[in-house]
Amino acid sequence: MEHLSLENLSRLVGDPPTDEELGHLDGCEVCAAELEILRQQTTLLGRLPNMRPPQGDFESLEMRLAAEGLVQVGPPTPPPHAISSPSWKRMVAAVVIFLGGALSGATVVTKSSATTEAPVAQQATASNAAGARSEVARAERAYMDALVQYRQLATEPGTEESAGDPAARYAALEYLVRAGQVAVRQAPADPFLNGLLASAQAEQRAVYRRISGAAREDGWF
Amino acid sequence: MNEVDLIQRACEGDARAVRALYERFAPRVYAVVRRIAGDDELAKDYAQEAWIRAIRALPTFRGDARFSTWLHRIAVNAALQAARKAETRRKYEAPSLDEPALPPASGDALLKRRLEIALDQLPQGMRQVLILHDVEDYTHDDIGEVLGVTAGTSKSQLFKARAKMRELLREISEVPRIEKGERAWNT
Repeated sequence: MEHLSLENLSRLVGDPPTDEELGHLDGCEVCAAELEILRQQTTLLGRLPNMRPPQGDFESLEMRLAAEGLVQVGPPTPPPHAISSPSWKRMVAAVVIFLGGALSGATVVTKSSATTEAPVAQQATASNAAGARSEVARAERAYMDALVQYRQLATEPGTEESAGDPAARYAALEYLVRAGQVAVRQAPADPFLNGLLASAQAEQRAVYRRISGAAREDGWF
Repeated sequence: MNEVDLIQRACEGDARAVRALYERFAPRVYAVVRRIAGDDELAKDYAQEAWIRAIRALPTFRGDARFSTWLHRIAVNAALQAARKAETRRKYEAPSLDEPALPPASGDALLKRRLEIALDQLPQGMRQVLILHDVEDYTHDDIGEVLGVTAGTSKSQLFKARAKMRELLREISEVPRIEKGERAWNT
């Protein structure tokens, strides 16, 4: 007995069989089973879920839209569930304070590295590239440890920062991320700039998760 | 804020409104362009192109159709056009032998993953028809319109695509022996 071709069976998923095909399907378990699989395959295709776009997709889209003059990107745009609560004044103030703090921090770090950290830089330069890489890796680990510790302390209930406005913080971080992206584009191999961008993005994601979590608790979804 | 207000404000260049529309519709837009693209990297470009076109065309949206339908049509057209360009480029490039690394999955997720993998492996023409018909529920007339072919061509491509999918799924999973009352591709 000759079986029905896969292509013919595919047609029968939605179209009625001819009398001849019907007769064959009644007597052939193989073709009947194959047709059933094709029907299930088609049903499942219709139920495939939506997909979340990759991280950072909107930010690059927004830059293109702004470049074309299709949107006015003045202050950074936090996610929609974050923008309904804070006022823009607070956001802008937070950005100014945050950037002011970052600038002060950078000044302090520059001064201190000129004195206490100088031997490390000299040592790395004096030995070889592998040594320098290892120093950078060590410094990055120390920095990340400090960041984790800072976040733990900052999010403890009752501390000053835990009571801060996460949406304003998100907006400030977005500003930093964008500035970081521009800087990394100009100097793609710079470990400091890459580290800074990665840290800002990680922190921004953490804040976003907190905002999303708070929104869910508030029954916004 | 309701959809009409968001669209109005997005038309005026309000970045927050654009973001809100994006958050609301991006998963659906990304899903269709990803499947048409058959590739993550291309999908990012296609999705972005789709959104740019949609935001450009927002002032022409009159509300005759649902916004999601209007946007979806723009996304499909943008992805199909970009796919045609990419296909032309690909003809002059060596094929990549790299297989994407996939995280482990189980049960229903595994089944859907297999479907997505098989979709990616379909020839482009078959994939487009299959996605538009079986995933996106387009009619053959609609498919003919967006692909520039007749409804009959769309139909015959669909049957070939379903058959090819079946073969690919068999290769991927060594699956299907269906007992009565059981689901296909038991895992």
